[in-house]
Amino acid sequence: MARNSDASAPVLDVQGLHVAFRGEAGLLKAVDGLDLRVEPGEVLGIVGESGSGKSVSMLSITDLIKKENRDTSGTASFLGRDLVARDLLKMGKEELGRIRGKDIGFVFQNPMSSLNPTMRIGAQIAEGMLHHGEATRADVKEKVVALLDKVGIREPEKRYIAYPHELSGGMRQRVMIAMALSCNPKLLIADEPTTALDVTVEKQILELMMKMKDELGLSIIMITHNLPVALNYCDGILVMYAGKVMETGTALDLVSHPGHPYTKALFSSNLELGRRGTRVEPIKGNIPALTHLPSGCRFHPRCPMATDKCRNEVPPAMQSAGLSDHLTFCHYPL
Amino acid sequence: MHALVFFSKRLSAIVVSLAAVVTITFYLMHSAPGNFLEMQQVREAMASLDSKGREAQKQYEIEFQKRYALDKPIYVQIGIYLKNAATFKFGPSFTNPNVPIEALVREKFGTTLQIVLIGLILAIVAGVPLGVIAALRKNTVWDYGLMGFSMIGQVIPSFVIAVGLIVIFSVMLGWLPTSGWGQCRHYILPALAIGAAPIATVARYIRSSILETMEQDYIRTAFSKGIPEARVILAHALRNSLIPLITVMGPQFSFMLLGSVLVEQVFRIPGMGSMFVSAAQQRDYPMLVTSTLIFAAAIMLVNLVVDVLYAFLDPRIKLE
Repeated sequence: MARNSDASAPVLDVQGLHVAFRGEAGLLKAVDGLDLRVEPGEVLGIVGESGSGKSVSMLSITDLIKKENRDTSGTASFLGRDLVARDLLKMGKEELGRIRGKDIGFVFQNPMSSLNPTMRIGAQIAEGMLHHGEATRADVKEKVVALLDKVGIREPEKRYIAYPHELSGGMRQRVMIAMALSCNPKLLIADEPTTALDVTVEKQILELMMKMKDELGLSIIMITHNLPVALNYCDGILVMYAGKVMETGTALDLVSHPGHPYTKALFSSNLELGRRGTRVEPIKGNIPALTHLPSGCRFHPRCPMATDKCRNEVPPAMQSAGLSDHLTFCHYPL
Repeated sequence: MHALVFFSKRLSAIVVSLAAVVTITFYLMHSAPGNFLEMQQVREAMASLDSKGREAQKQYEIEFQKRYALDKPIYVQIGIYLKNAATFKFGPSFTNPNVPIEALVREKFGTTLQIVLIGLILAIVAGVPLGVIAALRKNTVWDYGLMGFSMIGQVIPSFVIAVGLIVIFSVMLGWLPTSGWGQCRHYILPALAIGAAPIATVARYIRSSILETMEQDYIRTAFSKGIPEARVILAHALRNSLIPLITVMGPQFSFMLLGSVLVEQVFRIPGMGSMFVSAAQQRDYPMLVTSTLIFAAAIMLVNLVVDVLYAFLDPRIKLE
């Protein structure tokens, strides 16, 4: 399914992605029909509560979660360096291995557990570069030290031989970023990159990611449950709930007029966004078990505006405010 | 500096423990029925003697007791023994009065150590790859076969395996000698007999350790770099899986050292084990205490080495 593409083609184009796990409790539908596009240079935020399928979708297309008992279908067309779009889901282990770490970099949630505790950080960064031919044995140290310096690690020569436990949480995440960017990827997938960090460090890390994006011309998919973070740093936002997309649009449109009651509920449940004097409203109820999903609209059991239609019919994509790139999957968009 | 404090602490603890081992062994030995002079051969010889001969025998016994300080109270005997042991002098044994025990120990302990070390190397060299294979082929015929086999290896005592090996390789196939010592071919069966259970233990341990490690976040990170699975396993999973293995190697070593006592008997190897058994049979007190002391010291030192290795493999651990 290779096709030549022009420069404006999306870096990643996911269509109809379904991910399900076969378990003892039955079929667990983690992702149910996800469509998304990431344009060159775009920062796309995927926002949702835990269990909404945001991480699973990205880890499934790159084959970084268990294959056993996992069914993945759909297409995930990735535009490689050769500007040929290929479907990640049709790739074999080796082909995907040539893309992971080289064309797609990853930053994970907890930098302490995501770094190998018994390997020096220099070696951990160098490993990918050597494998993908971005460096040779002779110049790898020099390149890694330069990279550490670039991501804002002081005394990079000294840190090169440090172990992860000798660094602070923020420094470790900088190391993760250096590792993810070591082969000049086209796409960075950041899975809750600041969730495990102090709030004071959070901003530094996000700023660093944005700086690197501008320098390297990357696209970023930022998976987060933190709505303010997504609104501040992302161009486009995709709100997910229980494996389905609820709403998608630009960050600006979503703030100014959220179309989905769930998006609105996310806004009003957020302390940081709530202004002084306004009530912080938690969303009542819990996210449904993925083995027993509600009929119709997935959000209807928790939606204050739900009708019989919501209970019975899956809502189609509705344009909000006449914008073709602002879609709300709701029978009664706000 | 930390390491220096660590070693001095640990070494003094070892000295105190060894003194306790000696004390306990002395009391146990003396409370066991019979002593060297009462052993059967001596009694029979005495019965055939006339009165003059009996007199001479009595004189000999008194001299014997004096020579080995057996006429003194036990705690004095212990004190004398410990004082000499501090300079690695154990005096002559009852059965071999012309040779100091330390000379015998030097010779025999080397033999035992050779078998045990070969067994240990075998346990790691064979056990680790078997465990890795079982982990990578989890829930397949390979896994079940290897784990079933290792279960058998773990439950059969080493001396039974020793006899089994002799039956197969010496009696039926005639490839290897049933007993003896000195040549390469003499090492094979004893090392296998001693190593069988540790191979099985190591394989099982590595299997579960690898499976646990493969679930860790940093393994996903390694895969996210695009490096091949083989490298992920060897460079990332294996080293982290070896750390818990180190902790079982200490007890495994002790286990093999004690197993050598029986295996040496089966193969008639002139090592510490055989020496220990004959010392116990003949109530040769100095030899018995010294053998016990040497075994205990070896086990304690190996545990110290294990702790040092642990710190070496896991940079998060500091010697304290």
